[in-house]
Amino acid sequence: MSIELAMPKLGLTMKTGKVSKWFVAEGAAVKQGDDLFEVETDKITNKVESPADGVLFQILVQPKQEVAVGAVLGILAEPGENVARVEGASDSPASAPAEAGAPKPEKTNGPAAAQTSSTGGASSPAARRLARELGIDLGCVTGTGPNGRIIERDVQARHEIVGKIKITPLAAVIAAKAGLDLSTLTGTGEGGKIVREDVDRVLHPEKFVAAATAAAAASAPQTGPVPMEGMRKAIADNMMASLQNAAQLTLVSEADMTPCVNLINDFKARNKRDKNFRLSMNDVLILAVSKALQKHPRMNATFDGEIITRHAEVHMGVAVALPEGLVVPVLHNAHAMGLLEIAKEVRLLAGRARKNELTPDDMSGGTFTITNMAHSVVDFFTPILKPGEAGILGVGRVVEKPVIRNGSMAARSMMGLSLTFDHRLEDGAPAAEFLKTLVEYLADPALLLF
Amino acid sequence: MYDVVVIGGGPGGYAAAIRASQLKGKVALVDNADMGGTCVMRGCIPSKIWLRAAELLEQSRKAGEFGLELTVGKLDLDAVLARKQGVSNDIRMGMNALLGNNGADVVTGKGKITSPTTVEVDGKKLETKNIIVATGSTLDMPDIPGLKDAAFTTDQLLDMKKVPASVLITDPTYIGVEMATLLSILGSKVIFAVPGPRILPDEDQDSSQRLAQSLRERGVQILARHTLVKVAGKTCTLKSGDKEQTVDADKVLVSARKPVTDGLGLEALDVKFNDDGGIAVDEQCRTACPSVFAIGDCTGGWMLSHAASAMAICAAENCMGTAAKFPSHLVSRAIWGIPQMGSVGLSEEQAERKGYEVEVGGFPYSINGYAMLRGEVDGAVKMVTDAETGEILGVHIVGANASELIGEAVLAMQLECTVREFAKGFRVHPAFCETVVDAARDAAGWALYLPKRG
Repeated sequence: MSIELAMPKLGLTMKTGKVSKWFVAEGAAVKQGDDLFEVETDKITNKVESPADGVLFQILVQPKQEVAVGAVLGILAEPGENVARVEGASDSPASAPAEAGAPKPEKTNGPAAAQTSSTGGASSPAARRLARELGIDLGCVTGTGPNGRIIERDVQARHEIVGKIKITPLAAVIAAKAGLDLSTLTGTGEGGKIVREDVDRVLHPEKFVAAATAAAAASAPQTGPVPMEGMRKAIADNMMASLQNAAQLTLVSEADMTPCVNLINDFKARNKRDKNFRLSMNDVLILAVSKALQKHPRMNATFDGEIITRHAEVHMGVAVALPEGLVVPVLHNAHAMGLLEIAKEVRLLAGRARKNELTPDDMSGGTFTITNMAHSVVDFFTPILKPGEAGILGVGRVVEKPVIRNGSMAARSMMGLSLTFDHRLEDGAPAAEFLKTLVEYLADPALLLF
Repeated sequence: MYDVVVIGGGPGGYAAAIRASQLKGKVALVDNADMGGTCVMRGCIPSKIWLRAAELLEQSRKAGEFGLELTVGKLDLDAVLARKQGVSNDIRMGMNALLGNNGADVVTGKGKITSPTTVEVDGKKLETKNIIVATGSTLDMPDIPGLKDAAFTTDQLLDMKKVPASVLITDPTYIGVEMATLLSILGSKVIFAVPGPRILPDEDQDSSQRLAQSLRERGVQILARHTLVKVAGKTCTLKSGDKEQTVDADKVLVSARKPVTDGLGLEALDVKFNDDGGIAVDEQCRTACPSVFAIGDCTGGWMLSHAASAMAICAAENCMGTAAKFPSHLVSRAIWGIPQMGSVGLSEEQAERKGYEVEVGGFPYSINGYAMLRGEVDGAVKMVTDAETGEILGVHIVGANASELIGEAVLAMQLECTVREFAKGFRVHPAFCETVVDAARDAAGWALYLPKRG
């Protein structure tokens, strides 16, 4: 029976991986334990051994192609076995998104994932046999043999650690299905038992930070020491990671918002009988920024550390302030929405944020972010990039100022704009061009029609 | 300076005061009447005494099946009332004694919160670090023309010296079903008009149907999608869609309840309220004002005594610095009718709406040996599980002892047992509780005592 070789999950947070090389050519015979291929993630490189004797029948995922955990990379056939080839998978280009790769079949034949071992440390056949018997994932075992090789004793030690872990049956099922390493979980049940919520906290952290921080904020004293935890900790980690990993530069400019203010007032007057009608300056900004980003896709970019991806679609992160901290849900496909649709969808998102009902989808996939301080006395500030995004626009208050127009002074509603961008990805000139377009759009919103 | 001042001496406030005392808190409990609350005086305890009387009456009528030749006389309502009074008094005395034993001060009077850390009782100021509001609920008299004259409140019912000849019931929830059962056994003609398509709209459809069928067999007339709009003497006008019809009833049962939150000074503390008027709390039972907690009926929702006492533990522990959460998914519900109902968690429909891939197991009482030998074969157990993980999402039991059997499911869900472990358990034989294990085995795909699934 043939075995499908799947992309192994090598760590808690691993979602995708790359085959960096195949050690064996298609059609070649392999023995159990032979190195088959090497997997590379952003953190680690691992060699994967053949789970059985056989022939590497087909390679489905070529080197340098990134695929999701669990995607089928190749097929190992028994010697002489005739297996149907999987068509159309190996030719996909290297830039294919992570979800690509071969489709994962409903049920896999034989062991689902090939056996893995940490870099530099292979595993002894006895260790592998024991691991199989005890259901231990070798990826979680630290080798103490020569060159870090995993030996039988290491598997036994791991089994004893796992065996001592107290966990409820339901939590164990959910953790196993998600491929979580139990020894990384912190139990909060009676006597430190791992309960379902402890597993959920790792799998769905977004459900917990807001609630935990709200409770902590409510009970925390106004002065004195406050532990850095929950949402505060998440924000702290994100902000520091952003500042440490990107070259951030902020450009500022002012936009004449008088026409936009008039436009909104006019829309509101026309719809004053409709109690559900809502339109705010933020909605107009999302529309204008989306249009400007479509004109300057270099600012609508994300960076994974190796490849800059410039996006045609605008998925706009909209920072929403909650009592316990800031969340940034994403308005997906903002570029395809009209003004009223933006107004409606943003309100739905903000509502979900306030009720703590944001889904992981709501929180991911952003290509640019707007952060709004219009309800304060702030004109300009230095926004911090959302990690991975090329730009973030900080919006200040709208305030009437004297402005020289056509040689004479006039009172105009002015707004400060602060654009932070990642100087690694772009230089100042294209960022300034984007800002210029945006200022023009806002000063003359009729341009948004084109 | 108190650690905790509790307002309200029902099952919630009482438990909160004791738990906070156990954790070395200095505690005061404020109540403006006798201890015990709705549960002991006007709710759980009195109604179950009446239902026990009805059950005994019904059993004695069936005693012939076991060879007992009884002549059943009439039910002496005064004797039932005397028993009710006796039991309520005993429980209240026990509560007072236990509060004293735990060192909690009991302050009689109406409490008002005048600051996040002050409770005033008839002019006397109690300074405290935390406040637990446990003011309970009160009857909610609907605003229907003519209803006041015909109204028969649950308070009046539980003190009745005469059983009305005919009663209209409009409350589709637990109280309505229990009172319909009681009154029909005691000889009333009962009309049960509910606004929605079925009684017990929040329970599993199967439970609702089984109990409706049992009520119909007792002669209760159930009218779905009918709303009471007017009462004139004994003529009640019901509206269904555009159509109106009249039914005759001596009395109209008023049993709906609403949270008691008025006059406590909560609005000034920026405490938030739910749509049903209950005080909004988070999973720690904390209101929007951080030093003020609320528990039980005054938070709206289910309004069940055991939910109040569980919330009490959670609130008291949080007040005393031990972080606790109220597991609202473990609130079980029961009906002490004949047959009984017990349930916990999600109905099949609710689980499907939440997007679970639902696997349901069932087992009827009619093939449980103990139910057969006792002649109590009405009922079934239904277990709703998540096919992916085996999580027990909900259990719904109708049948004898269902109010006790549901504890099996509550325990399993609390300890996060999956249906696969539950199915491997076993019980004494013969017993009703075997049916719960059998239903779990059915959900796990290996019901031993049911025909093979297609």
